[in-house]
Amino acid sequence: MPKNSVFINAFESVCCAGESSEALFEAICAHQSGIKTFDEFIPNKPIALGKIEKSFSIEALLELTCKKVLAKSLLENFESTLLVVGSSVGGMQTTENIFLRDHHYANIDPKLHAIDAIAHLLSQHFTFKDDISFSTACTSSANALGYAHEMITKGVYENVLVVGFDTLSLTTIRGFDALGVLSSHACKPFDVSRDGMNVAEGIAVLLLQNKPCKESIELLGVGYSSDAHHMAHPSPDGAGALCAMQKALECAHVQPSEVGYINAHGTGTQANDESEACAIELLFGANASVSSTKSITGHTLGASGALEAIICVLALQKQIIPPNTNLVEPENKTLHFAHETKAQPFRYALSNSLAFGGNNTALLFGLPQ
Amino acid sequence: MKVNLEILSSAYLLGETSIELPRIKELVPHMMTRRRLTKAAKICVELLSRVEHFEGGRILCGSAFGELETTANILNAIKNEEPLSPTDFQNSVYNTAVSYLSILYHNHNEILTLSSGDKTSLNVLKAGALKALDGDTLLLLCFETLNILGIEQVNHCINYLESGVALVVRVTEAKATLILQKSELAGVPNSISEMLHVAQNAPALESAIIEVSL
Repeated sequence: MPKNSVFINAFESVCCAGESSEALFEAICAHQSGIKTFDEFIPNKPIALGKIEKSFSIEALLELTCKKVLAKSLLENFESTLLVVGSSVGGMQTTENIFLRDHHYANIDPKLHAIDAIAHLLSQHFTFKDDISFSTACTSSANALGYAHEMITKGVYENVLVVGFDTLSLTTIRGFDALGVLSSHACKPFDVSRDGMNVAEGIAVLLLQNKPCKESIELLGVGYSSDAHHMAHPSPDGAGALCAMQKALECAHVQPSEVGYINAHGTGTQANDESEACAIELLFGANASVSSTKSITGHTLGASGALEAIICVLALQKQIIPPNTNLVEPENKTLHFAHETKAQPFRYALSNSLAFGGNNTALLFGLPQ
Repeated sequence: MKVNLEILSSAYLLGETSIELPRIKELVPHMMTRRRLTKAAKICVELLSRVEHFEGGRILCGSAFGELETTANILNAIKNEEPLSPTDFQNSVYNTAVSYLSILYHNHNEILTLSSGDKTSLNVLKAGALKALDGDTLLLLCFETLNILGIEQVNHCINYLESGVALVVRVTEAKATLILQKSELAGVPNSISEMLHVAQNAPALESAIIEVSL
């Protein structure tokens, strides 16, 4: 079967660290975190979260972000475009608001509760040829990008819009608190003193097409794997993450030594960072620069795969390695962690997304061939 | 693009309130593991035991509402200002059921979960057809577990609160023998309907083949 190339031709994002992708990248390079401490989400316990400061609803922000991507593209509309959504909570925030007000379900609209709520919402403002939504916890939008890649490489679609979207909800905030993995300050991925993660909200929208435009970056490879180990803990040796990264490289026929930058999943939890660092070390040693950008953005859960894809795309376009923030003493002594923003020529960037259930997805991006 | 899928094996389960799973102790003998499984995970285990020709490989799963019981438990805990159960939280994600399949059967392959409202099972078939173009045999699953306290407040049309369908598929060049449409059984969730139609009708055919339009 002939294989089409996949180009990322337009994108935009909103998160706590920037109301645009450019603003986000500047914040990452300047070590300016968007994480703040809040008292209102868990009684008597301040926690650090990534909350978008907005003067209107996050749904309106999503519509605006998609409009910006359309305006940046050469498309007049999305009528020939497949919409692929990735989200872990969908309309849960709406459901919570209604249920905690009413104490019953009667006023909850099932269409606005489920994961599909985002596609439903967007369908009121745009016409798409078709839509599909993935929900695999924190790999949701990475898997949406993987599906978009497959739709284009196999020649089914020429245009695919990928939307990563998750809002702050009490379910996720208190859920992660129940697991004992929330930090009270901006997280410190890969540091010996790391003490947890920051739940965050985010919107990331990317237009993938089979033809390049001026500043296109290619999505070259996708790798999937399952840990088959535990619902909430990664395999300690990182075997699942390693397998996903290997498959992404194989998919693109790229050697580990050719990869210049890895945007790690790097949540700041003990278990994730130890396991992921082990996997990266096994495949890359000290060859590639590694950073987690979650100390700036927080963990945007189902949106993180798409948000970090945009960070990789900007890193490749600008030929700048995004640094870690809050990493003082790395636990892993082998990996080449980027401590400062560095201009450096590189051809390939890899992004990891790892989720509950041992669901792992790695995406490989590159300068056009 | 149109892709024809051969249905190698199929199974389905329907329960008006609850699906009885008398073999679950036999299928998951380890008690602590069994106790952690959600109802959807148990349904998927039972479905997997009923299909043939799938010895581990890629799995695509769909559910419009995911793990509704754990979601409701969490909402009620928040409402009552009670501590959340960590197990409820880790079991609340949409990929819980198939993640337990991967853990129980040591399946390290690509396992995806999608959720597209009423179009869920149609989209599982579309995604399955796309992936099956690679030449392997896939397990397609869909389920709904809606049997929670107070569901009648929002459910006005679904008669089968618990349901699940499994199809083992691979790509074929042969002509379709079964039209892809919604199940004629009244009161089943729309989100499982197309896959249920296939599972209801495939066993009667010598060779069951559907045409999926991507």
